[in-house]
Amino acid sequence: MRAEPPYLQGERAARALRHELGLGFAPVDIWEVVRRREVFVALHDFGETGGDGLYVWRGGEVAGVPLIVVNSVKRPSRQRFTAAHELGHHEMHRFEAADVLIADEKVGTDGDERETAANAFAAYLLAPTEDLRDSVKALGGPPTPAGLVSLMRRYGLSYEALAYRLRNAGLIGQKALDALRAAREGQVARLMKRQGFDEYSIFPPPTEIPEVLSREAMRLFKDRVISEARLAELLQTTIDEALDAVRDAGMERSAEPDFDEEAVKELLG
Amino acid sequence: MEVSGQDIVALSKGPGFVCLDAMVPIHFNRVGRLPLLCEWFGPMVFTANVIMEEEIRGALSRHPENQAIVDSDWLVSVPVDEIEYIELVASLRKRWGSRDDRDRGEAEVVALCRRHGWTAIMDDDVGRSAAKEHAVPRVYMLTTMIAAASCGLIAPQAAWKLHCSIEQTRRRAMLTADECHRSVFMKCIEQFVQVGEKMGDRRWPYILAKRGLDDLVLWTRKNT
Repeated sequence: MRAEPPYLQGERAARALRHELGLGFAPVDIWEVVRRREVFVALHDFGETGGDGLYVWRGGEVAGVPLIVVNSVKRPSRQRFTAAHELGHHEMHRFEAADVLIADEKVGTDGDERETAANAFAAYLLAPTEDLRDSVKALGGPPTPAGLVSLMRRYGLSYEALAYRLRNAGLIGQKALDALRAAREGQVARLMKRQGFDEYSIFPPPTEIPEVLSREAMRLFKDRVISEARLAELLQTTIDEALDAVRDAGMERSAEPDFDEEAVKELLG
Repeated sequence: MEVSGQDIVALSKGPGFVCLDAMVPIHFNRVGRLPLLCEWFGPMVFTANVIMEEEIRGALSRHPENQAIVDSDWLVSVPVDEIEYIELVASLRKRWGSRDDRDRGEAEVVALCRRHGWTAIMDDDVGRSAAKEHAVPRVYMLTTMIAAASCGLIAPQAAWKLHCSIEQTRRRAMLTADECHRSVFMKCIEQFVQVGEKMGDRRWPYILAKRGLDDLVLWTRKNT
């Protein structure tokens, strides 16, 4: 039997995830999707020239918590695509080895089959073909740069990513793709401004600590693995507020069990 | 294997034997390492009758995996059948406000250890507090694993892995399964080796009856 091409694997996995989460074909808040999959997200400044993100999962007998790290310096549309791409690795590739670490220098660029599949996953998850087809139809004609910018607002993808998405979904031909790509960066920025589209305000990166992360941080605090200060740092708040949160969640530390110093001294001689 | 009260008299007494609270075989079995208890403490490892009948056999419909514990012929369940110790169990349970069969296992383990001089392997706080009051040697399950590693019965990394496997679903021990507690765990093994060296050849399992082993784990956690 011939193996399924990686881009089809990616689309199929994204479709399955949408089905499982009851998302239909509508655009999604990717951060919410990741949260619902109980994957940790961390934003980290890797710099402008740094990689886009990475996916880490420690499997094996002592399973860890899956983690996605996204470069916080990149534009929101890039961050969204990166998060979706890394989620694709989580959905499709986490069982390939006991410990998985996939560092993505530049998502969206097809490398090996795994990367192609993760890109296709991200593209379909953020802009499913079914919805995209309707959106293109609603434009009332072949997509122009202005039309593409209006679609950016709907799907939270970058101009370039969306142009390729239309092509890969079979909604435009190569010639139309080339024409769309010929639009210069300045022109796209002007169109975005004219349409009042500020991606930083429409698609803000997550600022709230995911519940699963704050719960785990509080659990570590309760188990005396981390200090109050470290808890506050993880919850991105003050120590007092962190302790309030711990109290509200009923995660206070129990009294430190007493230990008999005399007995210890005696043992250690 | 169940034995009568009379047979118990014939069994060896003292700190060369241990008596397990229910959680010990249950958790070792859950992670597929039940036979280790026989390797470490065999040929006879004790537990209270009520634990075997009520908490293990009685829970077979919900936990069919307990069958492996029931089938372990090295695990000897012992009744509390002398009036003095029946009274002790009753008084402990009365003080704890226990209803129905709750806490009977812990109370009986304390009574049996008191009667036969065994060491209790027990994590339950109220049971441990009663054991302390009645001068019964007791250790946490975690302390037992550390001690076993310090005596060369299991490799340190394997002991840590075992602890982590158990803690993954349990999350009650003094050390969690988090990576940052690995160094504390290893440090504890080193400390226990020192303790064992002073004991000479009669180290295992007598080390478990040493006063202060659990305290040493807590102390090491605080100071590492």
